Amino acid sequence: MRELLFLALKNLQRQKSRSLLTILGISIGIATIVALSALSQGAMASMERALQSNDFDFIVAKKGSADLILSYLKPKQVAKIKKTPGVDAIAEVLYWMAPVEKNPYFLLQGINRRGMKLALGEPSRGRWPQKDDEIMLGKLAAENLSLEVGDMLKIKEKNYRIVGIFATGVAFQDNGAVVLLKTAQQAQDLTETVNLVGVKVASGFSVNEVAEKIEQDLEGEVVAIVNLEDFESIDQGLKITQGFSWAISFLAVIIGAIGVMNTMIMSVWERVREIGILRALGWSRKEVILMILAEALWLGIAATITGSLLGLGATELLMQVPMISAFLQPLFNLSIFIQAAVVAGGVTLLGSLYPALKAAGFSPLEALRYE
Amino acid sequence: MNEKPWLVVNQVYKDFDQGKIKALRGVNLSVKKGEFVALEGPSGSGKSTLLHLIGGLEQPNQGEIRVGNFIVSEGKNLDHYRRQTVGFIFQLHNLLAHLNALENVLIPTIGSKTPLSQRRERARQLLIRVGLEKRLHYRPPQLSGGERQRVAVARAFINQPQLILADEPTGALDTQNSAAVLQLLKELQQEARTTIILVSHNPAVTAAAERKIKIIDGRIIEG
Ligand SMILES: Nc1ncnc2c1ncn2[C@@H]1O[C@H](COP(=O)(O)OP(=O)(O)OP(=O)(O)O)[C@@H](O)[C@H]1O
Ligand SMILES: [Mg+2]
Repeated sequence: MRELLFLALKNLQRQKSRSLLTILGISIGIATIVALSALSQGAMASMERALQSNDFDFIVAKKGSADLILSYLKPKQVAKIKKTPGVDAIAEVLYWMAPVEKNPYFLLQGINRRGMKLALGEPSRGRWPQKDDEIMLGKLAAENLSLEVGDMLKIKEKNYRIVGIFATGVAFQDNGAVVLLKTAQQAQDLTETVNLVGVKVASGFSVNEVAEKIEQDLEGEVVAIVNLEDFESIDQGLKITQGFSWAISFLAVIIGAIGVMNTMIMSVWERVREIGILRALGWSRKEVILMILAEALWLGIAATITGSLLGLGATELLMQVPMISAFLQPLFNLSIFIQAAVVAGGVTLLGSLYPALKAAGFSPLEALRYE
Repeated sequence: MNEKPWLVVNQVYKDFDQGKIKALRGVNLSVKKGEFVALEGPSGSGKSTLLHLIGGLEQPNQGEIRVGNFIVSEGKNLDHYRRQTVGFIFQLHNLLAHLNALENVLIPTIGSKTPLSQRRERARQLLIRVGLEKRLHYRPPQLSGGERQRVAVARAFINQPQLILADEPTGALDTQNSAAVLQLLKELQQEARTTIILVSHNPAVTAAAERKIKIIDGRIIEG
């Protein structure tokens, strides 16, 4: 087998540019899969962290909203949640996107004063905002803007004093800032509205029962998100993104397989005579098939390496855009590269199976006569 | 000393184009182990066809071909037979252009259980034997016609075959190279008691054989 692999490598080297182009073709597909998987895994991980970074047992949002930022809860609903037996404490959250310096989509969260500890934990420096013109910055935002506790930050013509800095480990939070709920509501003309309510359940109560009770009491107007699966079920954006990346990956795989098939068919037809010689010298059909598949294997290995590097490079490039890196951090783990290798191997094998069988079918004499 | 024949061709018929072309019409042939037989005859008389049938590259329509204890005309295990028992030498060297001389000689050994180092050494010895010790790592395009054909001879002998089938092995060579290749074939045949069937219509070539067989219109006329 080692010699077959060596011979296969030599065969590929004969048509260097064709082999390289084929590898590049598959690599682009592999890179797409690597990049999309890393981004979607990163998104999942950061969402998981976002759900765990706070002291909430669950969050409540409006049912049927495509994204949390489009979920609107009214004061009556918030009050009902608060009064539900078993609810220990709540945090009311309203998101606010505003341009800050060069970033047009700086994400602020307005949180009611009592909810801040629940939502964010203790600040790493300073304290929580207590007044309308006070603001607390996420750690990464403070670094990016080179601001410290005591500095001023201007948002939409209004000056805020930075009173604290917090770190939750969640990219979109740490790249953003927190103000009082009222401040965020007034700035957006959304008085009385919140996007979501974080709920802490009193000890002795079951999280699931309290969550169900709230859903029932509010007559199906809200959903309680207890875990990541619940979250996925309401977040349409995530579903659309996943579907989209599946479609792109699938397309990439098909294109790769067709490329391999094209290359291998060409190279097999060019070698009718050569394959006939091998057969005349005693090679079996199986050995001819193995040789062609070994060539495909090399293409797959090369494509896995270059595709993974391309994918890494592409995400790295994407992360140079601050607007994207503030929300999305790619997560690379071994499973992504294993997936890439499996796909590359599958694609090359799939693409070369027919040419290999074709080559094995050449009768040695026909092949020797072939000019 | 009347040895029993080692290779037997018995009443063999071969048609092409659904019987329109009758390439072989009842060929009978017996060859002893270690014999060097030359097959001569006009173009189209069926020499190559007979060689292909004996080498298991094609099947006869009728008749039996036996080599040693192996019935070639049964059509089974021909890959193994071609690899272990037969060494082919064609008119065109049929080397792989992207492999060097040593690698070309090793091609019929790929998949063998013998360690590569041993096979390499044997390939090297054979190439030295055919006078190519300075050309081991040259690829066919860098070799002369005579050198290429000598690589093909080394390749035919690599698996220590009992039977060499050579179809116009010197057809593309000049007189000098032709004589050198023939001399080699003879020497190697005598060293290992290899049986050789050589096709040629050049009398200077067939003169090297121990026995000449003439084939005309698909029938053998012993010479
Ligand atoms: N695959 C084939 N299809 C049809 N006819 C064939 C085929 N192979 C050989 N023939 C015919 O069979 C006959 C014998 O051919 P063969 O190649 O054995 O002749 P040969 O004696 O080797 O001739 P040459 O000296 O020119 O090589 C010829 O008439 C040839 O055209
Ligand atoms: Mg011929």
